[in-house]
Amino acid sequence: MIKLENVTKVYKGEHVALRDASVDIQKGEFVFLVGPSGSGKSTFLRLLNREERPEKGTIHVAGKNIGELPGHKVPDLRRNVGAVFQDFKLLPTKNVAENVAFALEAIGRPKTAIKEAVPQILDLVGLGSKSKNMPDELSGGEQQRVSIARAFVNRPLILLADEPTGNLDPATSVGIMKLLDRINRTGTTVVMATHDRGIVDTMRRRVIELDNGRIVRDQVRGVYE
Amino acid sequence: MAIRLDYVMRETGSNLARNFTLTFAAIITVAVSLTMVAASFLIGQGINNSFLGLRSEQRLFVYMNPTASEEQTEAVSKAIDDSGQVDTVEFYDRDRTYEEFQTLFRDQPDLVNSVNPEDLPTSFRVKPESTDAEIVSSLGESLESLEGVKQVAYAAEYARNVQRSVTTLNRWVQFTGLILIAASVLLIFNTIRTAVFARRREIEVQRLVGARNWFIRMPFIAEGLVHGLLGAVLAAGGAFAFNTLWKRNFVEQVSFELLNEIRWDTGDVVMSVVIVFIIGAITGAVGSGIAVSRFLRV
Repeated sequence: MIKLENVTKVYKGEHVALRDASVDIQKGEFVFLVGPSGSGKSTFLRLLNREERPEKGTIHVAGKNIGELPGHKVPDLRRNVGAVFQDFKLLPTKNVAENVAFALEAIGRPKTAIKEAVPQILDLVGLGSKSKNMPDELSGGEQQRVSIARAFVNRPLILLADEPTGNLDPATSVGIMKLLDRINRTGTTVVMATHDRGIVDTMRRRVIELDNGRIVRDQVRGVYE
Repeated sequence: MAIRLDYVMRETGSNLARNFTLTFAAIITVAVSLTMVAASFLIGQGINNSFLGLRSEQRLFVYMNPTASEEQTEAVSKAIDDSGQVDTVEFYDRDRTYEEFQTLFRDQPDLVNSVNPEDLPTSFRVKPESTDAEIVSSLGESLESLEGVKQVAYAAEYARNVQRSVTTLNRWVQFTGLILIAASVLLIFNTIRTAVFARRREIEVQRLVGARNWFIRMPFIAEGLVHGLLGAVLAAGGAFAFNTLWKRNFVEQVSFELLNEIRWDTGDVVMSVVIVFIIGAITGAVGSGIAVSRFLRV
């Protein structure tokens, strides 16, 4: 599903964010990216949906060499790669249902399909009763659920999560991880960058550790360190 | 994939409302510049319409001294015939001149009543074979040097002077219009840039979920078009107002001799409105297009 071969990413000609990284991730895997701040976790994720392009090496996502993808094909890639962030990136002027609907509208889904899909996904993330609430009326955990609903409503093959529990307390984080686990069980490949030792050690999934842009560990059913 | 019209309208509408002051400034600037374009087009049409006849006509008016003797008049007539450069010639005696005078100044009976046929000079109306200005003026000069001739007037000359002044005026109107159009483009560019900035969160989300480039850009291009077209609507009003004012102040005023010859018909006014809409749309599209391609790189 995801294959990196000798990928190197250099920012502004100096800072090397990723060095000669080679990784193979199968469909349906759940992968934790761990490592200190600045070790290249976010860059790793940003390379997977063509937010960034590598200087060297090739990246295959869902069977396509995305380094060679022409600009007008990038939206097709991103429709297959959902993304969730530490800061949620919700639109403050739209309510919960509208935030989710906005994502479907942006990819040209017909209104009737949007009307059907939005309540469904909100039920899935446990926010069926809060569809009319504004983001600032929700707790951090609820906001992250909205953002996951938005990323997953289109049923992408891959879900990228950049520190999705970074702003949440441990109890709330558990809820979010349960949700991501549930999404993973539907066959969606999940790649999650995290600092959260407790989560990684509890879940015991594949762990890829980065340090200064190098992959220093790649362990099936691994722990934080 | 069909363009979601309701989406574009909603987003464009909220952009326009959110950015009211800049939007207002952009529309007004477009309106003023396009009004100048329309005015300049109408004046240009007017110049073409009014002087087309005069351009091809090179007539000389050879005015005799009121005191000129009949021999002198005869001599001038002979000189004209002998010059070999004359197509037609008509002699206006006192009665005919007075008749013409009465017609020309029929609106001013006081003036007509105060003038007697004897006060008016007789004249030869000469149409040279050549329309070349140099040949015509050398013929005029040779006739002017004859005894009893008071003055040789060139029919086209005064008209040409008026034409030249009006054309110069029109150039300035055009020039100012063009500068204002450039200002409009910049203003629309800035307005769209502000709108892009105001919607950066939405745009970020749209990019992340895989919206197509044109889908993200459409509301902004539409916004620029609205600026240009609303400006054009106001400018169309401006063109009609200019048309009315010009007619009232110049065309229908006898005292503006020749300036009231600069006139145009309804077809020209309609054409000016069409031009205003085309330029308005282009202005809006260019301004927003540049902004979108600079600030919405995906």
